[in-house]
Order: sequence, then C-alpha cells, then structure tokens
Amino acid sequence: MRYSHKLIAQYIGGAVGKDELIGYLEMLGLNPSAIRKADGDAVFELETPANRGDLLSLTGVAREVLPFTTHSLKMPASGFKEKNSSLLPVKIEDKNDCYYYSCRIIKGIDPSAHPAWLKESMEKLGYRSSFSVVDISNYAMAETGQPLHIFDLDKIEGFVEVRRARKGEILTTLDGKKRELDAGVLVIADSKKAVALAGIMGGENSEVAAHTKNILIESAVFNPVVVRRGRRKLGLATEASARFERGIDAGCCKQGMARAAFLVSEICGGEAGPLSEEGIMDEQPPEIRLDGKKVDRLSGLEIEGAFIKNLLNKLNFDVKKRGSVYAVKPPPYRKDIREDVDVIEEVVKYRQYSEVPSEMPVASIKPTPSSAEVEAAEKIKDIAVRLGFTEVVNMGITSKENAALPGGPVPAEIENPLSANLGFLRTSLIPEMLEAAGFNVNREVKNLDIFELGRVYRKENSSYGEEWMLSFLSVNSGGFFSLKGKIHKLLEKSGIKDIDYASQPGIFSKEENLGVCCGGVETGNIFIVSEGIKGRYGLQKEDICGGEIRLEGVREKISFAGVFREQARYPSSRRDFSFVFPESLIWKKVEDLILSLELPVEKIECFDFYRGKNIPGSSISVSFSVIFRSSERTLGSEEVAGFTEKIINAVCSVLEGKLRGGSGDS
Amino acid sequence: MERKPIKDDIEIILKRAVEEAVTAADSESLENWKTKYLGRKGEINGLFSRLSEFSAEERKDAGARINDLKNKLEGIYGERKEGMAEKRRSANLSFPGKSPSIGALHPVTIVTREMTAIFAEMGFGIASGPEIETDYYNFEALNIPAEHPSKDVWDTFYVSEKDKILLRTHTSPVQVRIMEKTSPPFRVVAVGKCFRKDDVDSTHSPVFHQMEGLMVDEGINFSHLKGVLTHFITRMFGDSVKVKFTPSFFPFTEPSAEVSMSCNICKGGGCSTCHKTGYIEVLGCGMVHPQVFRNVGYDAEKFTGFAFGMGIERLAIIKFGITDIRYFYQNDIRFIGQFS
Repeated sequence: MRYSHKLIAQYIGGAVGKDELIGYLEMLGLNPSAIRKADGDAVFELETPANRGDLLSLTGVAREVLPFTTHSLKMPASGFKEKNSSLLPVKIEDKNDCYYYSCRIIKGIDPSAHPAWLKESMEKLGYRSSFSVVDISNYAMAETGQPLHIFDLDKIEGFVEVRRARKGEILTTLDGKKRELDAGVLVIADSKKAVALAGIMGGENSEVAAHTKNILIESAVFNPVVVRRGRRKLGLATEASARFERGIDAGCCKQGMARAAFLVSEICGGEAGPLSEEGIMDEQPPEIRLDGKKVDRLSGLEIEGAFIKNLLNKLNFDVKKRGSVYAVKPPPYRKDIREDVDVIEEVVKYRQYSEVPSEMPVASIKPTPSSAEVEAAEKIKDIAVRLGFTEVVNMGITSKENAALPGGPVPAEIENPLSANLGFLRTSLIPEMLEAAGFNVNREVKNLDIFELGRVYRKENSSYGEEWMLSFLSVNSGGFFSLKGKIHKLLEKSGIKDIDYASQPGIFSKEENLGVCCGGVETGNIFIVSEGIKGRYGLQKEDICGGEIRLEGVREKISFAGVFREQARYPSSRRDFSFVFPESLIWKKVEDLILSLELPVEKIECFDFYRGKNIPGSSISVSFSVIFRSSERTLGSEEVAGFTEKIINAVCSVLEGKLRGGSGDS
Repeated sequence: MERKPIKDDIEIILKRAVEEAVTAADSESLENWKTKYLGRKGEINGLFSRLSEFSAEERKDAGARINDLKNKLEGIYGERKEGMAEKRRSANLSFPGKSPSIGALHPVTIVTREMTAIFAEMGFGIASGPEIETDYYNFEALNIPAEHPSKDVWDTFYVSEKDKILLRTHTSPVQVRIMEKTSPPFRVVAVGKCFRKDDVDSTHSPVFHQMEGLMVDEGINFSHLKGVLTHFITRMFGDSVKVKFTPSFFPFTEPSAEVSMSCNICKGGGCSTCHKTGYIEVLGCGMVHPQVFRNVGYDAEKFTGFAFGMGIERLAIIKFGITDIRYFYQNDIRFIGQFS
C-alpha cells in the first residue's frame, strides 16, 4: 500500500514532521522505500508484516508511531444522520464463511460532486481516480483499513445474501473478466444472481456508473481462509483480499462503514438509510500474563516497569500490573499479539533494537559435532580440485529430457513449475553438466574438467528419495583413461579400497561404459559419452567422458585417516613385458594373476595397449611393467629373471597371452 | 642353423644407438631415433621377438639383457630430449611460462566455507537436512499456519501438494530436525539448497543456497543474538562495517529482526546497490518462537534460543561485488575461477 506523510499526519493530534515520521517508520522496521515528493508531501510504500493487517491503513500507521510522541490519535469524522428508513434484508448462508455483514442504502446522491482533494488523495495512494463514490470507498478503506464495496442499488434485486457460488455460476468481475465459479468461492448475491466475489472484487452487473443516484455500501467480515482460498483459486489478489486474509476486526468494520457513509453524505449528499446487519463478531482478545522479569531475560535489557505500562497503554493494550507481573489484553485489531513474547517484541521494538547491547553468550562448551556427511563432502571437493577439476553448481530443477533418462530412475515432477524446462528434479548430475559444458564450449573454452557434488532425486512409488552424487565431466581433456585414473585416485585418497570395474551398459553410453564397484557395492559409472547424447547438447565435435559416484554407496568406507608406512630402503628392479592377448582380456585379471604368484611385486603398471596394425583382429597388444622390490635386501638379476620367467609362463598359460613377437611380428 | 649370440647384437646396437643419439641435432631426428630403436617395430622389439628361438634357460638371460638395453636407450632418449628443450628455452627467458590448468571451487562453496569457519570459531557445528521436505517441517512446525498470508513469502514448488511434499523453501526445517533429536544446549549451522517459485532476474533465482543458524540454551537473549551476528558480519566484511538491527517478522521467531550492514560498495554514501540508503539487508533472525519449542517438545519457559538465516549467494554478491545472481548457475568456468 502507498502512504504519504500528509495523509498520515492528519490523524495525529499534533505536529509530526516528514523526516520525523520516516525516522519512526524506519525504527519500527517498516522500511519506507521509494520516497517520492509530491507537492510538498512525501509518498512512500511500507513493508508491512503479514500478520499486521492493521497497518494497511493510514490510521493504523498513525497509531503505530504515536508511542514515540506525546500526541494522541485523531480519528476521521464519521457522524452523519440517517434520513430515510430504506433497508435491504441480509442473509448469511454459513456464519463460518462470513462472520458479519452490514450494508446501508443511500438514495439520491449527486454523482457529479467530486472534490479536488479526493482526486489528489487517490493519486497519492496510487489509485486511478474514478467516480466519486468509488473514490470514497477506496479512500475510506485507506483510512480505516476496512475493505468497502459500493453497489448500484437499482441493480440489486430483492435482498443481499452471502453464499457459496453455485457450480458453473458465471460472474464478470470489475476487471472485465468473465469467471466461472464453483462452491470454492464465496459470493455476494441478490435474489437472482451473484453480484460480487465476497472480499475480493465486485461484479459488473451491479457496478456504479456516472449517473448512479442510489447506492448500497457494504462493510463485512469474511473468514480469512475462505477469502484466501477463493482468491488463490481465481488467481485474483486485490487490496480487499489482502486485508481480509490478514483479519478484520469489528471496530474496523464499523468504522469503515460509518466513514464511507459520512463521506458520501458530505460530498454527494443523498439520504442515508439505517444499517442492515447480520452475524456477530465474537472477539475475545487473549489475556496474556507478562512477567516483567522475562522481558529483561529475553531482551538482555533492563526495562523499567513504567516504560512497559506506559507503552502498552499508548498502544491501546489493557494493562493491569500486579508486582512485576502484568495482565495484558491487546486491542482487537492486534491479531498478531497472542502470547507474552509478542508483547515483549513490542516493548523491545519501541525501546529500539539499537538500545540492546551486543554481547557474546556465556555458554556451555558442550560440543555440537558437525555432520560427517558434510565434512566428507568438503574434503572430497578439495581432492577433486587438487586433481584439476573446477566445481560447478547446477540448479537441480531441469527439463523432462534431462531428468527422465532411458534406463534411469523415475524422476520427481514439480506440480507447479516455473516453466516447462524447470519442471523436473534431476536424477543425474550429468545432463546439467553437459549443458554447462555446452555453455563454455560456445564461449571458446574448449578444454574442461568439471565436477559437481550435489543431490539427485527420484520417485519411488508414492514417496521420494534423494542422495548425494559426485560427478565428473572431461571435455577434450586427456580422454577416458585420464579421467578414470583421476576418479580412481580420488576414491583411493578418500580411503576407499577394493575398487573394481566391469564393462556394462550405462545411461550415457551403451558400449563404452564401465561400472565402478567399491567393496562389492555398485557405486557408479565411468563412460565415454555416446554420440547421440553429445549431439543433443550440441557437443558432437568434442571428446567427452564422464563419471558419477554415488556417495551413499561408499559413505561407510570413506576415511581420510593417514597411515604411516616406512619407505622402501632397497632398490627396485623394473621389467617390461609385451603380450598379445585375446581382445576380451580384463586387465584386472593380469594384475590378480601376477599378484597371486607371491613374488616381491611392488607395482604393476600398464603403459600401453594397442589394437590394430600387425595385431590379429581379435587380439590386443598389451605392454606393462612390473616393479620388483624386497623390503629385506637388494634383489639379484638372476632372481629377477626367475620372477620374469614365472610371470611369462603364468600369463601364457592362464590368460592365453602370447609373448609379443612370436611369429609374424618383428 | 647357426644362431648369432644375441649378446653381440646387443652390444652393436647399443654402440650404434649412442652414436646416432649424440648426432641427432634436433627433436625431429631424435624422435626418428626413438622410433627406430624403441618404437613398436623398432630394434628392441626385434630383439624381443627373437626370444622364442632360445631355450628356457637362455631366454632368461637374453630377456634380462634386452631389458637392460631398453632401459639404457630410454635413459639416453630422456636426457637428450631434456637437453634439447633446455637449449631451446634458454635461448630467451623473457617468454611467458606455460599456463597450467588449475581447478577451482565454486564461489558458493568458497563463501559457505568462510561463513562456517567463522561460526565454527564460536563453537557452532554443521548440520544438513533433506531438500525434498514435508509441509510439516517446512511450515507447520515453524509456526507458519496453512492458509495464512505469512506463507506468501515462501512461494513453494510442490512435488505433491496432496501429500504435502514440497521442495524446501528455506533451511529452517533443519532447525526442527536438529531439535527433534538433540537436547540443549547446542549451537549449529546448516547450509543447503533452497527452492522458491520466484521469477528469474538479477537478484532472484528459483534455486539458491541458505545458511541457517540456531543456538539454544538457558539464558540466551536478544543481546547474544546481536553479539554473535555482529561478530559474524564484521569478521566476514571487516571491522569498519556498521551493523544495524531493525524489527521484522518471521512466524518462527519473536522478537524478530532484520540485520543490515553499511554498504561496502559506497561505504554508506548511498548507491544503487543499497538503494541510496547506505545500508544493505544481510539476514533475518530472531529469538526462537516458543511455539516452535513446544512443537519439538522443549520446555519453552526453561530454554531460549536464537535463530538466523541468510542467502549464501547474497553474501557472495556483497563480498565480491557480483552484479547478477544468474552467474552462479551458468557455470562459466571463467567466472568460477575468479574467486580462489
């Protein structure tokens, strides 16, 4: 809502300057913003809290700053004379939908009377000036906070009823939209038709016009939840609905009606009829026991009783003091005050937050251990960066194509997405990382090593799951074996042993995908991204491989504990081997076989493998070196030659290896 | 058939190879040399291929000798290559070094770590919680009633509105989860992704990160909230920064406050970042609402506590002077690399 200094100041019974008022509003945390000067006045908006409907009015804001001053509230005039006895009967279908409804007829008004001050006030308040009675209803709402509606009396037939809309009932609202209603929406109706959406907006069929002479003013209190549901259903939030949702009190409702009728009588003349009303406002503000000591205990201030009592009186609270305890009853418009802490906030607020000292708590040093999961994640990120990867962070809400991957889990869908391409929760980090790769490649950054550590989500029947995933993508950067080596190193550095690999079809490549197993648990995949998938992200020209590790699968095994081992003292001997194997060879078998020979092997390193020229079609040439070292003595060349022989024999007989160069290779 | 002793061959090859290596004048001829001797079809492999002609006994000895020759030649190659490179480089040292590629952490991680480190100094542990949440943890337990306008600040993505399953709109549900399984005293921060149905612009993203903090004990009061958060902000942004607490509203705290700091861009003089006010909003906080304590079964008369929440991207924006929140999720690695 828009406010102005002059419009507020007229309700304060004493002088309050522009800067003074702004200063108070700032102290109260109402953040007056975008101050605009208009003919010597200052116009601004306020950030009013969602539980303070009473501040959506000029008198409400005036009331709020009064405790800073010695002035009192000057309510707008509302005395007028009833001059006729015309009355429209009122019915309420369900008193739980509408607590109270009142209306009043005014006949024979002069619709052309429209004073300049009213038009100017409309302008300041941010309304487009309309017919004078419409301006009056808006102005009286701005003053009192009570939403009011004015009907053209001659368009209302029979009586006024507050009821749920009938299914399929049609109403064209004042914004010109034709709306089909149902029982989820509360309407104001006459004997024949709906004439307004209760608490939201009037209907065109009962709208006042330039020549309207007879009007019906409505002032009511609707159930906040009913109004909220209705306006959400219709997607139609208005100044009126905002106030009803926050709660209206009986006093406000009566003031609003009286003020509107007064202004119509003053400005447009006419003959006002008596009030026609139905329902009662059963308002029981809570009685709150406030312990003065608790005020100090919670605020860290020492606040004298006189300040508290004086303040609460100024705020229209009913206060009775017994010793250091107060019995407090807030005024009915303060629907936010429910228990003692709410009153304490009022006290500290007017004492000002700046008065509260800044102090360090004196607390028990009982440790609050950090989550092991979070700590491990951060250490893993550090290892990834040491390996040269750059961390990316993606949103995680993505398109259906990115989330519903063939062969992957069922994605969770967002029922009310911002847009179609943000309608699903990711099941893998890789698709968004491919998009990120595309973004960079398009900007001529062609070599990338990126990683992301984030959650993936899935739908499981009617429940939903989420887990941490660690994913990598290498674009034109060293190829598959470089990435595999880095991921392997990262796992090793995270304390994970027994890492095993097996070719198996994967989501991002059917043929070139390697499953990763840690200690027998399926943990992830390393793959060369298929041509089809690369094409989908415009990356068909790039060499891309990726990997993903389910942290959930290895969580128990992660350990960053360093272990000391004495470094070898005796020299090592290295021997190179070159074999031709059947193409289906699994490298791990070579390692396992050599290790099974129980030789003093320190390390086995595969440094070349080759398929193609000079190698028979179904074979692969593999070169590797074995490093022998004893922790007790220097190995003699005779001894090492014996080891070599054993390895050659074993490899030839068990793995069908042929020592390179047998026949036909020179 | 008479077999030539392989020992002789090895010596001949070694002598020839050394001579040729010394005379190789440039890297091209050195590479040719490498192919000739050490290549797939090179002389060394030629020798290996002859191993099958020997008996098992002889093979052992010959294999060792060939391996030895191979090691020597590889050593020579390495030395020569090094020497050539050295010579080339030493010609003019003014040329720039080769730029290495180096990994980097995302600014969200960098700022999060800086923040958690400051709170760790004050004894706060780190917790986390689920991103797919229930209405209970995200709203109800936090004293945010259904169908109340206070819920409007948190425009929510629903995974299943019927089953009340949603994407958490703030990290505050972690507060409730911590309290359900911890008894006071404790102090903890939680960091994570949050989701709000906000239209995207330079200051809004439907996905962002938040840090939540909670301290509960007997005798905790508003001055402690001020003390801890003032320390945090001055530690994060420098001692010259002024910190301001003003009233605010959150359903889960009472009293509630908004914390702003003097604008570090215009130094309080007024600029577009601080909307000419000289101050920037940094975080929201307050004393934990007794209803929240009651919801988790704490004695709300005995224990008091404070809670706070702040946007990580927002702090990073203020810290680094980043002009648009969308940069955080574009993953331009040139952007990411700037901060570490």
